[in-house]
Amino acid sequence: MQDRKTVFKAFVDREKEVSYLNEMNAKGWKLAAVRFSFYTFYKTEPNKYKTVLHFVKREYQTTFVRTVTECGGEIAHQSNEGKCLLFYINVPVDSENIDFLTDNQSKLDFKKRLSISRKREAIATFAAFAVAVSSVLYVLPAAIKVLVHDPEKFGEIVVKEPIGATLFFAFIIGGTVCGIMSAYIFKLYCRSKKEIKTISSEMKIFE
Amino acid sequence: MNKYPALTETVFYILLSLSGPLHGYAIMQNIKALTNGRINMGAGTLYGALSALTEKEYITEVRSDDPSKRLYIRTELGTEVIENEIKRLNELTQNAVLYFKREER
Repeated sequence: MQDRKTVFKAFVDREKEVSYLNEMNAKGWKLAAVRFSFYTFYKTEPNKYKTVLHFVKREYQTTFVRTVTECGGEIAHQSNEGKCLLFYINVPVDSENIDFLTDNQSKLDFKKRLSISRKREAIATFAAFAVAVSSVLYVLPAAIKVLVHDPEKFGEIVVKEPIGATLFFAFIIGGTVCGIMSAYIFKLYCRSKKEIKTISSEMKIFE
Repeated sequence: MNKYPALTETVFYILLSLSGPLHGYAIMQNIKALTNGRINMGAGTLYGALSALTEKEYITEVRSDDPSKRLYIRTELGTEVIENEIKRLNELTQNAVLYFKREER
């Protein structure tokens, strides 16, 4: 029975996720599956594989899997990304070509797809943040009355409803986390746009 | 004015390789051999190019005896495109040679 282990890791940045997966490859752990931020690895030789991510339009799923398999790659996992699928591919280091994307057009297509994914995530986390902030502001006066005793007497604050108060503050913290994540993902989105511009201008030089 | 846009090297060599039916890996190997290893295409690049060429109807898929492998072949449109590109590249090369010969004199 193959040695295996499962690790919980939460990534916002896909590029950091790939770096982590390749650190694990270097230690001899090959990605087998991903389920809700739980990464399962199988033991293998160190530095035997390299892991790459790739976005594929749904209608081209079969073509992609066939092409990758023919070229010696292994599909470790796939997940939904809006109109596309996101594939995690293990490429043997000793295969004919370890580089998954070898021309500017395919690199540009990948960066554009990554940029769309980041934009969607930034909007979703910002929306969650906005909902949390507006909800908190809306219910704050009532929440103080319900949860806290004698708010006018400073120093005599007693929490009447501890569970309610905990949930309320958890909601505030959750909203704050969403706001921070949204800002970070938006920064990554801007970085993607810059990289797209760089690759596009490199390609135009040769037109 | 050219009827078709200039092709990238990747697309040019894929169309060139598909005068007969080939599967993906064979296309990669053929291009590597044709270019003496200079173009060693990644699986992601190959997939992207094959998808784009299939969408443009420059190539089409055909069934093979092995159900796990699918072959590709150039269409008539694909042949017209590559012939057009070869003419364009010939013109470029001829002009370049003439120009440099004139400069040497």
